[in-house]
Amino acid sequence: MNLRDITAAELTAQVTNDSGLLKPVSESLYDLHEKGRDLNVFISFDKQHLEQETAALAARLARGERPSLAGIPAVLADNICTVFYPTTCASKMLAEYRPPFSARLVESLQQKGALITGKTNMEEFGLGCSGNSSHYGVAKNPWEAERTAGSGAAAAVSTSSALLAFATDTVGELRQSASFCGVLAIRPSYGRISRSGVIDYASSMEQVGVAARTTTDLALALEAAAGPDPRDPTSLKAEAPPYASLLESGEGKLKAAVPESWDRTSGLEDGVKDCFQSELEQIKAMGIEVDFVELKHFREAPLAAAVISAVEAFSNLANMDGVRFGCRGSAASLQEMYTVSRSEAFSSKLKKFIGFGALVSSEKYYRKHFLKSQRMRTRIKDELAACLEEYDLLLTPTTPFAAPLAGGSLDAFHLLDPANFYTAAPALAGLPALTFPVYTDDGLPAGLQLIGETGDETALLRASLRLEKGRSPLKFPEPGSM
Amino acid sequence: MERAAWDARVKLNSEETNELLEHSRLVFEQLDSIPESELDTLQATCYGHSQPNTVREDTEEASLPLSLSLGNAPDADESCFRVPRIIEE
Amino acid sequence: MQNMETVVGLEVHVELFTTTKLFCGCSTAFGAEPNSQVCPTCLGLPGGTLPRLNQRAVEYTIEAALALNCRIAEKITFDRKNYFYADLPKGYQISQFFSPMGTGGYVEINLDGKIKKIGIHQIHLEEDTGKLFHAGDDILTSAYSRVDFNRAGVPLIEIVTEPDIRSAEEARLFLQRLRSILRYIDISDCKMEEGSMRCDANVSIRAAEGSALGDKTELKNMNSFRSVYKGIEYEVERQSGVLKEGGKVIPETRHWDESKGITTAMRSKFVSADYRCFPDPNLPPLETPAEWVEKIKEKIPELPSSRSRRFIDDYGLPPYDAEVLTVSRGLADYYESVLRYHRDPKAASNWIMSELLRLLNAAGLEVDECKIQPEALGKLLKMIGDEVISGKIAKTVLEEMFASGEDPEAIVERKGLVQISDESALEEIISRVLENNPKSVEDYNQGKKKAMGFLVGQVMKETGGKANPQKVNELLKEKLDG
Ligand SMILES: [Zn+2]
Repeated sequence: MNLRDITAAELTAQVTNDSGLLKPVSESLYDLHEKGRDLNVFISFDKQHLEQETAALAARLARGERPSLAGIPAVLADNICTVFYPTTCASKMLAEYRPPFSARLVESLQQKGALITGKTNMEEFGLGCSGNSSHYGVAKNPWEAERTAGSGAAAAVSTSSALLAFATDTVGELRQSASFCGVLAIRPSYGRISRSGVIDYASSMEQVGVAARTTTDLALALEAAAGPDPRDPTSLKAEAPPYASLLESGEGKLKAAVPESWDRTSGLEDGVKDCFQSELEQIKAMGIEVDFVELKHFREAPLAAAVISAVEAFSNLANMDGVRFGCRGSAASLQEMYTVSRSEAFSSKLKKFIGFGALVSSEKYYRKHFLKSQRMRTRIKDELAACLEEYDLLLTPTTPFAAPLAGGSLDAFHLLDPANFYTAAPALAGLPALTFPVYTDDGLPAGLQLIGETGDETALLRASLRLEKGRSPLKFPEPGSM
Repeated sequence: MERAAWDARVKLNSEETNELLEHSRLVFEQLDSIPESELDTLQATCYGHSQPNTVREDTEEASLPLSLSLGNAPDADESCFRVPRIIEE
Repeated sequence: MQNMETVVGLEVHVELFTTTKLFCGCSTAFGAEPNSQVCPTCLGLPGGTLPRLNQRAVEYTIEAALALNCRIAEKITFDRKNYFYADLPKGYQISQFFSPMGTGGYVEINLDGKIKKIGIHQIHLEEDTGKLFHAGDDILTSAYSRVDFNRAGVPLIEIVTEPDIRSAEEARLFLQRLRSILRYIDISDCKMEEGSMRCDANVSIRAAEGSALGDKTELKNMNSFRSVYKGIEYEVERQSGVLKEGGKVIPETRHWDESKGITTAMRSKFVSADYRCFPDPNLPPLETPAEWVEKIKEKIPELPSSRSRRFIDDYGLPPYDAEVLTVSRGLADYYESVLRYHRDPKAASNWIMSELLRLLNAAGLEVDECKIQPEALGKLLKMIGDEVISGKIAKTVLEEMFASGEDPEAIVERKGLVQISDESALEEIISRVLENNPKSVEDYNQGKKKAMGFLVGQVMKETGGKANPQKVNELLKEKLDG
């Protein structure tokens, strides 16, 4: 079974028509997993579990059920809880953690017939995507193995190990890694997908997003995952739109804005800069209006995001104390035990990050820095909202650079990760944002980021489809070619 | 910084401490460069959106069986989690 | 050293009578096997911590705030108080730091007939912690401790007074009144011995009224009204002693040792804790529309202060009676029900306060567990008033009613206890008594008026106590003097 050139909708139709195809599907998935082992994409992948899932689905199909994602292979980042796999957050702390529950998202995907094949690698607790803090080592980029994938989720989609991947996007992690791996990804509006059962590190910014290889698949996956959930108090109460059926490229008038400060970041690679500029020309040629607008505070977003996410991480990860679950170091007394356990189990990067969170929320800095960052957040949010009242979309590169080399520089500690330059603002504002794959002259993938109005993922999906139709098919690396 | 690390219950070696101090200084400098006066009148944004909270009815739901509530514990007896002595020597 | 003034502020924690915990559906019932009433939320398991707010807990808190004459916050928000301890599952406690549910209220206490208002600084809602069991004798010598999280997440309200309390006695009166109010609105059983009501006291002394406050100590671990009283008394003495010797009171937390009757200092690594309180990003503000608050207000019954005033005004009761009868809503309701069947307020008050409460206390029962229905007590009082039975007989009838719940008329009828007021019947008995006691008659005639008492007693004895004592007196006098 060739999973490279098939869309999710086609696969579901075929499998529903002939459940005998499930066997070759699961065999291909296993082959792909074996071929891609070197990439270090998965933390958990179990052939037996996959066989159980396909058998269960075959039985449902035989009973006449017609679930909407039947037979579609999907992966989950390893911070989305599953009863059937450990959920490690790529941290030594949770290497043995078996959640006694599955995330609401997992329940909906299973109910809709998706095959959850495995749990994917990530930065420890999902914190950033251009580093090397995973307890399981860095996930390698399928395009060039010496580069980072940013996340196993995006890499799995890029190699067809899965047609859909679900992973969290806090300051931009999923969008960035999708950009590094040349796949599409959407981070919906804050609250659109339930966070119940998701181990997040910065609750006010974190959203589950989806990566896929086509806009249509993205819409299908988002439709399956989105919707109100009484178990998540921040879940949007409004029903999610039926994205898949609303999807049409349209030729209508579309006004896009580009922040005029888009190229004012020292991290911007020439390849990405040229690529973005030529994309803008193509987009104009498609009849989409593009204006450069002044967004004075867009550039402040990574700063505010760093402070806010560090404070929330400091607090959210305080339950990692070696009492009810997780690693416990040996110590004579309780408070010492906390420090020993956490210091042994957390990466150096994470320790520094939550240390910073504790520092910036201390009495001395609370008002001066933390509260100020929260006010900056308000200003950024207001500015984006005003801009999106006038324009349908905001366009930027997704990351200032293509996938970084997985060398020593990955270990560098950044509070102000340059990868967050474009992705932090919509994350702070809770806006939906989509990354569409583009390519630099060197042939490496990069991303075009589309930011939309809150609650309106449909507009982003439609624009994405319009981009997709206006160009040659997307490229993907040959699996196992490395 | 020593106090902050202790409050986060993480041990940083001197290299890590210096690195963190250096990066914190950078962040603080950038924050200081943004005039306070422009922000004073703004509300802080503490939540991901402006949708209000909802409440749940006060009806009982199933708790975990003991095998699951204690299942992940590094140290437990038949019904309780165990922790090292609480008072330092 | 001149007169010192005691200044006390109390922090009272009260567990609410809800079925489930504050942020999850686990039961709050007492006495279950350790860790059998826990779930991923109240255990703080990764991925399971999203809080779902209990409506009843919020309503109870608003009700309490209204009953304590507080202003209600327009929006209900929750904050995280961050610290590490074995009984705290998430590494933070969800509380209300920035915007408590109620502020600026007061409670009235009755100080020897004078009403004094104790200011309520604030009342807020928060979650309780788990429970620790120390192996060995106590926390100091135990090698390890065991943790039960059944209480973790149970809703607690914290009531913080202004430093308006001037003595241990005022503190005791305040607590009694507070308990009485909270029981009236039926949101907690407020049992200090069982831990459903807990009280910490901030104690300081100052040279004279109005002068600057001295440094205060915080007293913990007082498990009864009596130990609050004794703890404060001890602490005032101790602080005076320190000052008299020219020392300084060290601001610190002190532990009340019930068995030794002293307070001792508690140690901590960093002198003042920095809890880094910040708004919980998982709990957006909850609106409190005026109609909702109004609906809650309607549920509040007449509270002890106003009810006691009304008993004085409407029923002409002495303040002491009014105070005793309004201590609990059940007792006050009982009293007023009795009046509906027999409107003699003072008689009802006397019988309830002296006889009924004595029987209830001896049996360890609450008034609503009493077998004597208000109607039955009303009947009994009417029989006394109508001189059908004597007061003395009535006491035995009441005891019988208390034991069996039988109707008083039936008891009197069955036992033939009807009072003899019939003059001809009494005259006959009196003549017999006079005949049999010539010595006493002579004594009386010689001016020894005490002999009269003896003769009355003899008549009562003859009638088995059923003679109407007033009638006997009249008739005897007539006979002897005539
Ligand atoms: Zn629970």
